[in-house]
Amino acid sequence: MADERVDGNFELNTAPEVPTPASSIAEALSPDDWAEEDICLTVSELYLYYGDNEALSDISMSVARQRVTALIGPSGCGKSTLLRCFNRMNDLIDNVRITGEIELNGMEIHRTTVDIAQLRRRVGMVFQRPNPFPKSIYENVAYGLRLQGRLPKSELDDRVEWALKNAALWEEVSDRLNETALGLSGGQQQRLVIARAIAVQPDVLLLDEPASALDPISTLKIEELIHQLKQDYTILIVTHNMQQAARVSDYTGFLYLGKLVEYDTTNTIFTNPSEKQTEDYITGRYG
Amino acid sequence: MNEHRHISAQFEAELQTLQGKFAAMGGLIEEQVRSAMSAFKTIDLSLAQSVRERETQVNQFEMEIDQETTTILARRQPTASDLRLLVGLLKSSTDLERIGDEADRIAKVTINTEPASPPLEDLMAIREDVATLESLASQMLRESLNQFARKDESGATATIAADAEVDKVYNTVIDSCSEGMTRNPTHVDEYMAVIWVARSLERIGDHAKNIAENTVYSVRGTDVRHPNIPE
Repeated sequence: MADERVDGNFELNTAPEVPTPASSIAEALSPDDWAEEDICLTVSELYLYYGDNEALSDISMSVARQRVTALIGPSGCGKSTLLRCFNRMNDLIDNVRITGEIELNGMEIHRTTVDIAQLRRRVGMVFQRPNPFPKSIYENVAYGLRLQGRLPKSELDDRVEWALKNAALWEEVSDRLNETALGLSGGQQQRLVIARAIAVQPDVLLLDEPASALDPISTLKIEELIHQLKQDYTILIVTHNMQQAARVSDYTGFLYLGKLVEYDTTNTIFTNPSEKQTEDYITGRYG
Repeated sequence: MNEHRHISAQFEAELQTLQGKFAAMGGLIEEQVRSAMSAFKTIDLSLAQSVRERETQVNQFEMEIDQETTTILARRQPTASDLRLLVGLLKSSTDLERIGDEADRIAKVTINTEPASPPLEDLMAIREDVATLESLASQMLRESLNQFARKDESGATATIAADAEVDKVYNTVIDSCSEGMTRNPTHVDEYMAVIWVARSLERIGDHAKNIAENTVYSVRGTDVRHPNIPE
């Protein structure tokens, strides 16, 4: 892993080499030893205020590299707010104040030396509703690459094809790359947006309810894609769909009233959570 | 275990109905074991036959519990304590059905064995131990069912430990029968009948122990079946 504490600037291609994939299904589905995890993001004593309103309170957590971490909790619990902290999307909102630290690969992301555009390239984000640009399928994926600088056409073509293949969309669109992206179905548009996000080879993907606007089959395709993508990316997903969190994630954090009530392996959270509040939420009980 | 009620009253009702059915199946099984042993001890062939006929009801209960649990799993996708309760119920209903099979086996042995006349004194003494075995196994069964219903994890732990005593008495019965058959080789069939019954009682103890282990899992989420294997 590149040590970026030295100059405080993010550089391209600093993603670590892909470690050996999990050797068994059980290992892949149930990481249970933090000591063996490579930590990508570290949150320390994070507080976030909208004006005087405390939206996040004393959040501390580590996010394992090349794992899927789900954030669950009732509406207004702060899970999307926390997700948006990881690429400083909350900076775009007036009257937001943040204290505490978030380190990405050891680099504190709130430092003044951090280039926010670079940060957001390394920490890509996908929203609830697919938001393709009103451009061709090809241009949607090439957009972020063009922002990075001029690439030879052949290399651009290769990167677009690579991203579309990795987003499990290539076979469906390879013969109509120049058609408008707005003609794709909702599920295809969401995979296109994911292709756009991974085209610039981020370290982290933030998914905010990525399948909540999709039909069950499209949802399953996105979930399968998440499973594939975690071989290369660290993924954080916010979802209201607890079964989806159970299906796709390795670790799950339960937030309630801005606090991280419990954070553990997904297996533990869904079979034997430690906290009563977690138990009540995931079993659908009156708290 | 969680004392709060589900937001979905329908889900709450489904779980209660299922637990009620499991309790009813447990009651039937207790009665089957009691009747089968009573038939064996008093050589009451019609009672033994009625045990055999009621076996269908036991199987019916098992199938209904399986089906209703599967439906809840598919439709409600339960988690945490709800999931553990349903897994515990599903596994315990299989154990109850197996106990029903053992009661049926005791009834069958009763029907198929020609009693000696006059009864062998040697066997009378062994039957005392069988009565002890019955008492211990029946107690384990009753308590394991109560503990499952009351989510009594500490009681279930005691029930798990009680199985060792059942095994001890069972071994005594087997040893006594082996020696008895050597002394009275013309009565091998009667000794064998006692061995079969003792074996069924010992298995009933094993299944009750399983139910107790399922209770611990349902309540605490801990698998205590094989202490030598780390979780």
